Amino acid sequence: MANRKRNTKPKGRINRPEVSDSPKPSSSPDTPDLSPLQWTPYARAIATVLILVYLFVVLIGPLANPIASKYFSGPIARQLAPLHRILFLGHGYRFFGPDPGPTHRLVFRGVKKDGSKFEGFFPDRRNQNPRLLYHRWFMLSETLFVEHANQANSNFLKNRQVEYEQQAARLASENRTNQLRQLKLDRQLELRYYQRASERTDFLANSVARVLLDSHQATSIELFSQERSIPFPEEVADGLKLNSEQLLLPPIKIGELDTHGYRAANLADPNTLRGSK
Amino acid sequence: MKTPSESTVAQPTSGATFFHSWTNGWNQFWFQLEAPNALGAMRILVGLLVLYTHFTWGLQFSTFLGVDGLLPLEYRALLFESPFAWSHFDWFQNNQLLMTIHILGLIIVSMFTLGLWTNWTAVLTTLLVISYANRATGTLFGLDQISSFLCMYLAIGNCGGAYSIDQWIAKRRGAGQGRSCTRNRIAIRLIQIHMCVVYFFAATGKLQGTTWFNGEAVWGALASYEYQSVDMSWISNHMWLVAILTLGTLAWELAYPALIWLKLTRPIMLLFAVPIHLGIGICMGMLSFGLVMLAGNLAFVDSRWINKLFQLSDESKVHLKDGS
Repeated sequence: MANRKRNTKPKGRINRPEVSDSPKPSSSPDTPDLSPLQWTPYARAIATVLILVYLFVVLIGPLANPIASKYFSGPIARQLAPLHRILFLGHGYRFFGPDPGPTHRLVFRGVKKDGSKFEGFFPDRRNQNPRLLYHRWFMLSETLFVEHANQANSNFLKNRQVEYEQQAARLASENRTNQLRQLKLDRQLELRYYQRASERTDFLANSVARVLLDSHQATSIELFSQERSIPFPEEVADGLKLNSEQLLLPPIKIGELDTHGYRAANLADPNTLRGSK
Repeated sequence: MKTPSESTVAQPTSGATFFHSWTNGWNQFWFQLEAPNALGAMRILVGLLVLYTHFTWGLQFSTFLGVDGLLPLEYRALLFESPFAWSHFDWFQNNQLLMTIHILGLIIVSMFTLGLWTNWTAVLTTLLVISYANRATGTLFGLDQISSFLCMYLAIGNCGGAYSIDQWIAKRRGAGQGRSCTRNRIAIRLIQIHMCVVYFFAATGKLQGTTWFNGEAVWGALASYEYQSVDMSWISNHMWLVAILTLGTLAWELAYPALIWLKLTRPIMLLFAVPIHLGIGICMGMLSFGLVMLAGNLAFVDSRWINKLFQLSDESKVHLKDGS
């Protein structure tokens, strides 16, 4: 009742009430806070609209990332992307979801200027301290793994091209022009996706290789992504250490850098380099 | 059992009454006055974490963020394909200049943490956090996501209104304590709602997995050597405990967005937040992430409790001085 009475006060620019020095009860809907309202109804109306729009922007982020609805959150998230980028919002917040998975480290092997060979990996808890710095290296190795895995190998791309051509020929023969147009658009998007994934991996891997090459005063360096699987509890109970070599899968080559520049590994056959015969 | 006549009496009298009760509720929720105490406490904790983050970047600044560092600008450009993913690193292509800005940034974040010229340093700290986050794509994790929005909301509120140098100066001038104001309320509400959004999607993301249901997810996290900072392998002999921790975490995250709003259950939700976040922080080497999540949870702690806590620490200082 008292609240409604307050709201019917004559409208001024801003009502500045006397405020006691002691803290007001904290924001909780269950403990009605009966302090007077400071803002005019007009100011509150504008703030309400801004708050609602902002909360929608916040909510669309995790609704569209990592999985988006093609008909709702996806298109809206694309429109709101500038706001998400400006304010660094739009994250998925799926911490350790859907399942805690295996981790990945980046292994590098190279040859120094004096001809000696060297090998290393990151993240490396012995040499990367404090822990937050170690975690940055860890996230970088995970990003390299994810970006490398996002690429499509040449065999996959060839198969997809064959599938696309067959589908396009069928739609053309059936005179289904709308579906054919959509198919072409989807195909363009798909090719662009894989091309971008490949470019991103190459840029990132090239930079990482160059920094490692310089820091080790090397002439050539190879990068590999190596997965560490999660042990079964029974294995650990039987004495297996978490840092055991047994848990490491064979490293997968990402690429190499030498005096000729950076060359990515062939995804279909990691023992060869992309573009090599 | 109500008789039909009683039911009729209990019905809302009109749409206008319903509308008024809604607007009153809305006004109470968003626009009541709020003391700056919770925001002041959060400012100190978030400020320290941002300071630590920036200090850590400084240890390998040119390696990570330099012009020829590990993270090429082209990578971000291709990933975002947007000019809106702004960063001051795009505007200056000189390592010395970037390092100078970094040092200036450390000074600004220190001032923010101490609460000096807080209205300005809060905004500048927010811009710095976002700028670094937009630049360091590929090395980020939850800490950066949470600290950026917490800084932004602290800048909306008057986070320098308590436990700050600004406040100390104001007191010396006889201005009294930081005033309660509406923007504090809005800032607190935005933090509260954003924290609920984070927990809601963290929980629903886990529902898509199998190990959060079969009770093994916590084992998957603890048995990961790259994350491990405390050897918890002894827990492999106590998988019942792993199952309880897994299902308990899932239940807590699922319940948080609803039960944190109820007076009866809020202390319980906050009580569980401490071991869960500190546990992840200590055992999995992400103490900074654990602490920033706890900083966000401070938005649900009553300002009067926070004030009492700070008064207690003041009293204990006086006792120490007195030798009592």
